[in-house]
Amino acid sequence: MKNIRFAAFLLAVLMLLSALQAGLAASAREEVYDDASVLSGQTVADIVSLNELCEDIDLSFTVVTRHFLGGKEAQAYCDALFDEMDLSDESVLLLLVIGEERYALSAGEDVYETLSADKLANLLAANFRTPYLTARDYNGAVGVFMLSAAKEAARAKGESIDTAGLFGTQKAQSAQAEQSSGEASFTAPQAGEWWSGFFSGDESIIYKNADGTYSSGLNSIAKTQDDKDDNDSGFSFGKLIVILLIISLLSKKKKVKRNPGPRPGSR
Amino acid sequence: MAEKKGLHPAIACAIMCVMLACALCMGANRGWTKERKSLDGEVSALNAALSARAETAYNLLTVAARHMDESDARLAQLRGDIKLLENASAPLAERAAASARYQPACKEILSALAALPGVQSDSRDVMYVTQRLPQAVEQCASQGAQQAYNEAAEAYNARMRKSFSGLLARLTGVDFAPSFAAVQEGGL
Repeated sequence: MKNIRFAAFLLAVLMLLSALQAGLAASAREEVYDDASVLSGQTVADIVSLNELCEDIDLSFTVVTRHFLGGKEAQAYCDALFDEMDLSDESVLLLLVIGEERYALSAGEDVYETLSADKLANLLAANFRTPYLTARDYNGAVGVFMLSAAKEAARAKGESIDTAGLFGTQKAQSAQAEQSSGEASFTAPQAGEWWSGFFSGDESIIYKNADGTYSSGLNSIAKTQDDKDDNDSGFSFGKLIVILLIISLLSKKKKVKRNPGPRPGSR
Repeated sequence: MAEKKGLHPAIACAIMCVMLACALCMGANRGWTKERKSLDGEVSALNAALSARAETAYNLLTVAARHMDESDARLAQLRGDIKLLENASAPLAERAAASARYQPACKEILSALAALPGVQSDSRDVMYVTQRLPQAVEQCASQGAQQAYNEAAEAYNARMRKSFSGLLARLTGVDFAPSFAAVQEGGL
């Protein structure tokens, strides 16, 4: 009986720890505030992955999207938001104001030591501005800018990061394979249709590859979803099975103890 | 030896009365000034509501600037009204008038925008003009804060009118609280 109680107690403690871990993970992973609903799930997942990769080079990205700012100046708003969100000195905050066709960037002191303000401005101008304003490819713009900034920061610190697979890089082959096999066919998103899924609740995600082709993020999202299940909730199906296995083993052990056989001298 | 001459009792009484009257007036002034400050919460809520209208109007102007002529009279009028709405120190009468013009003006601009081919060919701006902005305009047009302010101001004014200390406070410069709705209809 004591063993069962102990197992139950252990289970409760484990679940509590898992919940705590989930809470901490959730609070730590608020890196994208897509109020304008313009970023795909794949992009959000890639931002999280890139931030994990960038931990070694002390860099972290946060993306905020808004439809409008109600007459406020974008840079001032972004700076205020940076302070309000209490972002670290290693953070880069990228603000996209979709309805106003504006954007702004704020960064912490440590970032400016690695990447100067001019460098960041150049990266924005070279990699972000055109896809953001002309093509309205918000996912592409965010992805290309972040990858370039991360690589620049890594280079400045004499390190390298492997960003393959993030933001559609090196996806062309798999996309072509998918299309040729006829398993799925996807169309490139039309300009301005970025919000169509916003009302319909369609979760189909189509993202742009590095070579300009488009592919579906459904498969990769499903994979990353499984991989991230553990990180997101802190409690995966596998863990549950292990816990149940431990409980069943403990209860079996108890049953064996309960029936030790006839005592010597008893009839 | 000259005998010390005291103050004439009538003069002393008069001075005492004047001082008493001054004390009463000062007390009334302080009390009603404090009472007036209790309206600050409603005034803040009213300012927040008017600021929200100004922000929505800004957003509308941002979209309109992409498709309409900058010198359009409707846009110029709205720009002027925005300044009044967000200026907490502007006369309440003018702010109330701007607030009254806000919703019809926004609706007129939205209708004009929706009819423009430039907007119709831009699915993003169509979404803004036909869905998001009209919704925001409607939400901001809520009269809740105005009503709360007016009720508080009327209650304050009624108390002031009925009490003697209120009369004294008025004599010493404490005003009635202006009603937002009354001002809107054409002044106090």
